[in-house]
Amino acid sequence: MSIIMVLSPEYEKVAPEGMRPAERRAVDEPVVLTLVDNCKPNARAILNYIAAELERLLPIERVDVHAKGTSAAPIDEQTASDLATRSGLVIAGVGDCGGCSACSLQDAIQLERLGVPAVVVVTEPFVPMIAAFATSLGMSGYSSIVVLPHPVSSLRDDELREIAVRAAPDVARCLTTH
Amino acid sequence: MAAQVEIEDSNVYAYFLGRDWTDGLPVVAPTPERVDAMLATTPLDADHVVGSIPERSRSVTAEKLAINAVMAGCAAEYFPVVVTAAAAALDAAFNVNTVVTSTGGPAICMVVSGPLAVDLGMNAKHNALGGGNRANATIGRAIRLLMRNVLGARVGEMDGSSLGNPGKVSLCFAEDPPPSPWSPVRVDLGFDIDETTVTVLASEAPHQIANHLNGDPDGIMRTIAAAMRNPAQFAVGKGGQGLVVLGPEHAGAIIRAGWSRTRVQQELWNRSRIRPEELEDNGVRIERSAQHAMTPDQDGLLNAMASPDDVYVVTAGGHGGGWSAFLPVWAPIVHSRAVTCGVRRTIEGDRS
Repeated sequence: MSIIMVLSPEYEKVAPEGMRPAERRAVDEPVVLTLVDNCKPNARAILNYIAAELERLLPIERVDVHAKGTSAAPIDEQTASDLATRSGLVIAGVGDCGGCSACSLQDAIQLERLGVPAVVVVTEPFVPMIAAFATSLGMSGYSSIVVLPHPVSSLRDDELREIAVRAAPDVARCLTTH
Repeated sequence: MAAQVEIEDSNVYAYFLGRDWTDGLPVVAPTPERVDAMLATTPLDADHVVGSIPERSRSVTAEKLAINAVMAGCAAEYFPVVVTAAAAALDAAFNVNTVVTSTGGPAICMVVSGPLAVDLGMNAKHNALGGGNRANATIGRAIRLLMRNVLGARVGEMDGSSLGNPGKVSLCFAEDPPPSPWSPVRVDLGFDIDETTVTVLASEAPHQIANHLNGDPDGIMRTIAAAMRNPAQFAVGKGGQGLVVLGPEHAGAIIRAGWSRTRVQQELWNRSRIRPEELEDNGVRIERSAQHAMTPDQDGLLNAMASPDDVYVVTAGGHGGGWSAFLPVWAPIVHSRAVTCGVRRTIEGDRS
């Protein structure tokens, strides 16, 4: 037996420091709610139903939709900047697979960094994975996440509405309180 | 410089397994001497950034790549090809972040074309897609270990694979230069004949194609197209990419009949197109979303392959059987594209 020196194969750099979610406050004035739709099957329907419920819970001035061309990439910096200038609140989703949930999380984090309260909507199997992504992106412990049962892609419209209505209070809470 | 740790030489496997640094198989201990020898085969500095993954706020250095290449069992002289494969996989068009995160769990298939494949003793013939060749096995494995250890693509971390496939251990082979008048694939892709290239595709496991009784190229094309026009493949009907590996019997029949690679690509693209009704008859629902707009063309057909150029065709395999293979990219082209890089350009810092 002898002792040898080996090198670590792992990534070692510390994740970017000082990243915090946007400040949360009670919404008293009308705000623009933006839905960052990753265009997965049934994502738009779910987001629309959530938005409809939020219009009852919060003073929503209007609901805008940004439809991503692909669910497999986050929005780019310019798009994030543009959305941040005209959005008071953002909902990103629906992440119901590996790549798309990670990218929707990154959409939400980008808006948070720009000072816009955001929430990412994902289905249950992907919660642990996006927690790892949040750490990698410098926002360890990011909790503005609303979890839906999986799957959603094969549900009927009435089922989508039901889960969206059930989730809407959590979405509102994530956007207005820490 | 990477972190160093002292371990007992008899405990390497257990230690690395315990840190989740392996693919489940034993590894070669990445001692500083072995890593230095690996790095010495290129002019790249240890801290040279081979590529970045902004979606994970991570980057890959030559040193970390060399460490994982040593672990994989690569000989030092393989490293220029390993670097080129990594550079291709880290190209934005490949979208490695989604490739290694997706529930689809694709392999990173690598095809090496050029003189280095011969110099390194890569296998392009019998059992080219199977095991038994050090270069094939370890070059592919090095990239997968890189993904696990540097990108964090592990189950329970940032790999959401539902099933994965065996190619996620390693799926790397060399092109067997085709008979004249075909050119090697790297030439058709715009590279010099004396360059060596690595093409990476995020692929399913190989689908073997059997046609042993029909020497007519038209018949062979129909069989290959049947494998491509498969409702069970995610990209069919949405437009994807794929790699067709022509075994020598099929390639010989096609090339002797005067078919060019371009014609093969065109024929396979066209013959693999599918009616929406075929998908629906097989339980696949038609998507109407912005990213997967499954709207038929005027002829009523949907693409399996996005275009003829998205059908990659290479020759490989051993004589003695009418076998070929099809490896579809796991997702439509909007999610990931195959990338080809040249070794010389990559090592010299220019992949344009």
